[in-house]
Amino acid sequence: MYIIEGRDISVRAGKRRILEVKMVGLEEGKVFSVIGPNGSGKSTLLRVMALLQNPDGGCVYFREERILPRDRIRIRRRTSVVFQEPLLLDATVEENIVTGLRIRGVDAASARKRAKHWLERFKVAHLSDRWARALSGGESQRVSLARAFALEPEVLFLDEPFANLDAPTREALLLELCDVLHCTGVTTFFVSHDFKEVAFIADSTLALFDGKPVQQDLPRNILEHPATERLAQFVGIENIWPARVIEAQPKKILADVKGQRIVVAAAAAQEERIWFSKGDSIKIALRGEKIYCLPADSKNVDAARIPGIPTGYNLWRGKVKSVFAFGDIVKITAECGIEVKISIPAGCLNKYKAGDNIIVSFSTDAPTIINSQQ
Amino acid sequence: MRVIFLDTVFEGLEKAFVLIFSLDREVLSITIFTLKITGTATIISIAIALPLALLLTLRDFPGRRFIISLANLGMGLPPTVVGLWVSLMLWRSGPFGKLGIMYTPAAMVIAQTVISTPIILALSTAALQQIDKKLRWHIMALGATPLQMLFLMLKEARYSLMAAIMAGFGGAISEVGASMMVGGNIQGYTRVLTTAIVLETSRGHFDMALALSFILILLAYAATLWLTLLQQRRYRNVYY
Amino acid sequence: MRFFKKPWLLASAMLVLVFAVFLSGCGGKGAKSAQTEASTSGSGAANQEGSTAPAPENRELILSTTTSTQDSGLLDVLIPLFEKNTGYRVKPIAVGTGQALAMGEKGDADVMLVHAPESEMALVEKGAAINRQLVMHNDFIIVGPASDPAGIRNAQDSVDAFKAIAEKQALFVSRGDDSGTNKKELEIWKKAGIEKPEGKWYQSTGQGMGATLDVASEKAAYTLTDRGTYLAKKEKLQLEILKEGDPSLLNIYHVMQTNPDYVKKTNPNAARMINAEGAKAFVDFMVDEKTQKIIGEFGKDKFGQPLFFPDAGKDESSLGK
Repeated sequence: MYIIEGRDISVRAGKRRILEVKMVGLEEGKVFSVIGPNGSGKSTLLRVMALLQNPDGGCVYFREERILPRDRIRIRRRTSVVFQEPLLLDATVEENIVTGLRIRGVDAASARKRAKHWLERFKVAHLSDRWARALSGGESQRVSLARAFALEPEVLFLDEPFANLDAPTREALLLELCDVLHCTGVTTFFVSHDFKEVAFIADSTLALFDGKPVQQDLPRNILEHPATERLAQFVGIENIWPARVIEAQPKKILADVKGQRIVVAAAAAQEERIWFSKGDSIKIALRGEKIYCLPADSKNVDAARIPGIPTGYNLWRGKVKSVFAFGDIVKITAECGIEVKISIPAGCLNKYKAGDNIIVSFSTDAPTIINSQQ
Repeated sequence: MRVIFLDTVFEGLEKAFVLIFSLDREVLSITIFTLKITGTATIISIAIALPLALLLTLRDFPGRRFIISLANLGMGLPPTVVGLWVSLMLWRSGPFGKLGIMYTPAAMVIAQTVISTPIILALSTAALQQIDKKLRWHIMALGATPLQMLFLMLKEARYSLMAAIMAGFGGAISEVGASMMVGGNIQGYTRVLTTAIVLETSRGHFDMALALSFILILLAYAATLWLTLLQQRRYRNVYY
Repeated sequence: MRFFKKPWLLASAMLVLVFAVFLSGCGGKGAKSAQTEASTSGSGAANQEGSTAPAPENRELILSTTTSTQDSGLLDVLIPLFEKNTGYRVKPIAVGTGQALAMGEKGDADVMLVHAPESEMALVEKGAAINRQLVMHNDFIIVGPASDPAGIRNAQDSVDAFKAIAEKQALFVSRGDDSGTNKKELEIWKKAGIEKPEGKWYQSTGQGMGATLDVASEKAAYTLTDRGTYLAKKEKLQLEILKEGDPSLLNIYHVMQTNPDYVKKTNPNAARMINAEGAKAFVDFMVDEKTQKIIGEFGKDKFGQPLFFPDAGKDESSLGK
């Protein structure tokens, strides 16, 4: 049973439809996340689900009960929202939290007690007498979270709460949030454009593009086996190649990528999706960090005899085109008849330079197949 | 000429201080009456302008921009013009002559309300519109009823709203044209600080005029000082 | 909204409270209490004992008059007395002569006290004003430096004096502010055959009488002034009275009533509100012997000479002779 559920939700901006979702539901105690690029309609969906915005079509159900306009405030008081901008009221930190509780009719003494508890939980108790507008971004967002949890919601909505924070702050806060979510077990609707956050925190993820859902799955599956090319790009898959099926076997296909042969084994999660037959056009997506590379000197020209490479691997020869170091990661672009982008940790095999001959290899179950029709 | 001028000022200053600190009965009663008139006008203006400002901020309706532009225009409305219009309305020969409130404090309150309402309306609309639209979602998400929402918005803009009210109060207390025209500057009845200053000056009673002008400045300063202190305390809270 | 309990709110609530207390003292029925308060303070301690005449039905009486009567302070003496004697409540509205007359004509005032005989007669002939009575006069004087460079002391009358000033190109300071005094000055220039005085010798201040006298004194120039203002500032000025008493320098005050029958023709509503009884009482009061005596005494204690000359019952053409 869903605790909160949207059916046939549609939202228009002018004539343009910016959101069209047939069904979206939150299971009790689970973290549900929505990802998508900016402007994909995910924040709109959150506002509709949090009853802050009227959809142009469809309706929201709370515990199987259809929510009528007059119920909105009552239901809102059973949820709480943390937004991207921690726009706190122009008052002290403690007042901010207490005001939220007082609006919902909690008496002053217990409101203060709860405020104290949650400020401590998010390590900002020492700021309770400070003016909320004087806080740093990270501090304000901690207070926002404290306020949201102090309201003891049945459903917690998080609208990109960490988007405006710097990386270390974001990481620290994400860890704490994860911990609190785990302890409280509150049902959560988490919107983000950062697929890494989602992988970390969510039980289930909905990917939204142009207001339409493209895939709903476990976060890991969305990262590993995105359903569309755009989603693949969005979740950071560097290599997306058009290919043609040469031979289709059960749980395995052989395909041609601009002259290079590639073997793709069916990963468990998308087994049912390998139903291609010979001659089909497909797209193959492959993460750069799943590719290994070796210097191609004269002694091991025969790929089969390269030590350390187990069978069941694809092996391509090529030439290094460019090498870029991004902090702890080195990104290599190699030309193997087709452009291959490789990410390797800095420090271990970073002796490559442009023009070097190279052998790239990847496991047969590393790539994923995208149905090229989409 | 210069000597005469200085004589006037120093003599005036001396007498002015005597008048103020001896709590001269006339000076005192004019001051209290001025506060009553302008205070009443300000309260009525607040009662008209604040709900309208909230409406202009929260709702988009046809004519909304027009009202805002009118309010902005009204901010610079010359008091004499207001005096003339209100006079034409309230004279016995005018449409509201039957009420018989021309040359009464009520007429002055009406004129000053007409002067201060656009000021308060324009400034408080600007103040409320400066509140981030997203903050309204925050407040809604806390589960606020519409009434609680209005209160929180007013609270959010309180410093700017105070400034707006003070500007309205200041505009009303310092105007002379309208009060003179609709009040008639009747001794002990419709005489306020500004009209008294005009009269005493034309009578050549510069001491009295100066005393009254000091009180007027003092009142204006007290209001401004209070507001400044309030805003500075907030500034300190937020930025230090 | 119990959760707002910050000092600022307390402060503004107190402010509102203070205003509200004031409000109770002046809005609506408050107007009445302000009225009584005003009438007691206006008519002095004597009135507080309730020794007044029985209150008439329509107490309110609007008197339109010129700023000169208000500025002199004469009304501050006369009106409390009238109110005490009759129980009326007078609202003196001091405006320009033109407006004072227009208010009477439209019925916005009940009684007029003005000094523009020609315009007054026009109103009487129209039927808009009735019961016109001569009350008093004060006069304008020509002042200048004791050396009297244009020799106007010996001039026959004010017109001759102005002619002499223009001929000698002696410095003359005008108010140039379109006030009654300024109009009077231009009228005399006209009679002296000078349509529009101009030149280096003729300067306008654009300011009030007091400031104009200061300028004239500073520049050793001639100017036309009312006697009251000159007397009030005499000690600080290096100016002397050089010409006075000429009939054309007189400022003659009449009192007259608004005619409700005339107003009724154009505006019956306004006509109904006119307090004709009160107006008649005020006219009677102004020409009363006792009042006339007070007018004749007014200003003597301060300036050594009266500011106004009581004229009730006299023939207007005999004044200044």
